[in-house]
Amino acid sequence: MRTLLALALMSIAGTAAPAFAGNHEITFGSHNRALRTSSANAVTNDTLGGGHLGVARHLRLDLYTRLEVWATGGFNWGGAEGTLFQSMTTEIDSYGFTLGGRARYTLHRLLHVSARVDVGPAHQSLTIVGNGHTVSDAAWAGTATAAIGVDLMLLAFPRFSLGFRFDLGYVAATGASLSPRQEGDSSKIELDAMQASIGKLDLGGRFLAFSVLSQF
Amino acid sequence: MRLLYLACALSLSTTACAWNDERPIVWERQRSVLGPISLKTQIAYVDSALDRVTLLDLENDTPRITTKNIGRNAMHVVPSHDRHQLFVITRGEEAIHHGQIDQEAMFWALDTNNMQADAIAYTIGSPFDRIAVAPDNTIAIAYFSAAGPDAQGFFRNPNELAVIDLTRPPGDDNPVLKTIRSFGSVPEGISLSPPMIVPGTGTARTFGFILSANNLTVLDVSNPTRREISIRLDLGGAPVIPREVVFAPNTASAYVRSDNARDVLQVLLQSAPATMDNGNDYRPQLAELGAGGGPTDIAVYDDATGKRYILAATPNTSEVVVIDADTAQFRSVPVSDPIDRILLFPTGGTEPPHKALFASIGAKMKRVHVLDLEHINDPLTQASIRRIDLDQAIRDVVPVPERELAMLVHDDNRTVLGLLDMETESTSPLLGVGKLDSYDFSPDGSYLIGATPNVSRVGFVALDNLHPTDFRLDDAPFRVLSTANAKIFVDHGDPLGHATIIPSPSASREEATVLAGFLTINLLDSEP
Repeated sequence: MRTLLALALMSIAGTAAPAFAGNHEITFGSHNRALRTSSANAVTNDTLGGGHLGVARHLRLDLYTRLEVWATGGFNWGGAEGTLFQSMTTEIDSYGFTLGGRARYTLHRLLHVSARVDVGPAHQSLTIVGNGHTVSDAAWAGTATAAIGVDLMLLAFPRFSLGFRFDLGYVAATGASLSPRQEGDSSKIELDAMQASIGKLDLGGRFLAFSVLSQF
Repeated sequence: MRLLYLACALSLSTTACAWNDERPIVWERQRSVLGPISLKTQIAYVDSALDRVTLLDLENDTPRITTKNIGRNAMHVVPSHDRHQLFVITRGEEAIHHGQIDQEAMFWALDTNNMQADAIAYTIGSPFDRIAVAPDNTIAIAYFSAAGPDAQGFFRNPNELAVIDLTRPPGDDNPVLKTIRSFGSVPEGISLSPPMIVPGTGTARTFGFILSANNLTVLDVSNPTRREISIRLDLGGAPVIPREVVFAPNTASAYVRSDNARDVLQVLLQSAPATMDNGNDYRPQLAELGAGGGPTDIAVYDDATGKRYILAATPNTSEVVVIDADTAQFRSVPVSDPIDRILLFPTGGTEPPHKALFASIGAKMKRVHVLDLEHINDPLTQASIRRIDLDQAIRDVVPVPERELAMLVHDDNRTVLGLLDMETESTSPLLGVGKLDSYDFSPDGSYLIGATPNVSRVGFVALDNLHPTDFRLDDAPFRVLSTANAKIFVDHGDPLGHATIIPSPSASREEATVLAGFLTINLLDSEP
């Protein structure tokens, strides 16, 4: 946190550079999402940590002075571990795709603020291990993300810029209905199984993301 | 502008630091699953962390899963005698940490016939860990086991018990908390009588016989506010510990077998005028039968005329005593071996037993004895007791329900077995591939069903012709149960719930069903 504050102050006191003018953007970074829905609380005390990879294109809509509108797409992944009733271990894994848009306002050539909205599917899996038995299941859920962010640019040239992005937002997710089951032995003929549902796992929550962004 | 930039950076930093919330404490609780418990056509599990009872209804081809909420920290569960109800004691909880609640210890009664009805909670206040239920399921008593109450709490009263009237809803007077006289001992067990009419009192009542070292306490549980009556049993020597009580409701009497006792004790309840308000209107009259020896086992049966008899083994006198429960007259039959197990055949069903099997388990004898019970009360008829020699010493005898068969166990690992046919009085050996950790009989006694965790199979033995078959499972079994509709339920010991349901002993694999995840059904959808 001190490092982030130092970087912010450095970027504020940065020297003058040529104005930025790129149409494409690539971001790569990490995120940390607090899992505090009742269903997530059941299986983990941990946050969902992971990474994301994003691309964006400047739409050049010229709606307002210093306001940029970008179309965004992204891929994210994450995982968390936990325990259930002190006797069973749990593992959550998630990956998803997003499509959306970002509005970016230039406060300074090295400082921008933004807001974004994304929607997309997310694949969620849950594994529970207890008493020597391992069961798991996975399902798709829907997500909707809203976030605000700050871009701190280190380099800002006409054809290339490099900087950091901090996003704070919230992910709303539909619950993924799961029925964890034991992996069968494919070499044997096994009995048909009726699987009881463990319920819907909702991995929504507020998150904080950090990215390295590059525009060109 | 610089201040704005600094504020943005600081707000992000602060937000990132304040990220971790505490997970509700309910998900950190210790969990123990009680069960499986076989009811009529249902199997029950009690979850101490999810605070619920999971019922698997196997009546139809498709199992149906139902959950019923109960209180915090389930500790003990027993089914009713007719297997239609389930009784659970929950310890409750004290709100010490955030997320916990204050809840007293409770006794829960679940009617498994009515899936729509919620469990009925009776506040018992103390964390009892044993339940005694009357044979007609009208009264239950919650009490402490010999271990006494746990270490939580300030004061401990191991002689406290709660008398619950199951025919009435919970209220200020239901249950009734009571402390019985102890004379330094704590209850070892409680036996509740069937409804008995004490001659001269008119109304049928249930009596509780509370067993403790050197003491037998009689309590009119139909009127639990009345004083109990204590009966001292000690003779000045080794502690006399009552172990078993059999009742003769026709004569409002009971027969008590005790360790280190010198005889079978008869307790005859007779009417007596109450000496105070709400006083007892009966008095127990005690009698030693004069059989001359301390009994090691007793058994009770009703003959075809409804007359009740009690058999008692008295190895000190090398005899087996047949007692007329109504008149207390008895007849001695000499048996040389130190008998400590009595079984009657056929067992269960409506047909009265007509043979008794006597075994010496503790002495590991290589023989058993059979006594014909027909005309046993006729003093002019010679008691016919026959000896059956076995190849190996006997470690246990288990009757087959509704059949005149008994399973003999010849080793501690239950791998060397035998089947005793009481009709022909002959034995047949059975060999198992592994330790018979779990077994049951089909409800009509036509099959022996066995399982061991080392072998992913369920073994069947048709008891008519001793033909063995087995059923391949996909996973190792933990416990096997037979339901009233002859289905075989195989529990695999999975904390999430995993069972194989076999429709019948002769069913093929295609007809069987695996049910998984039933103990955690809808776990994510609601917090305990």
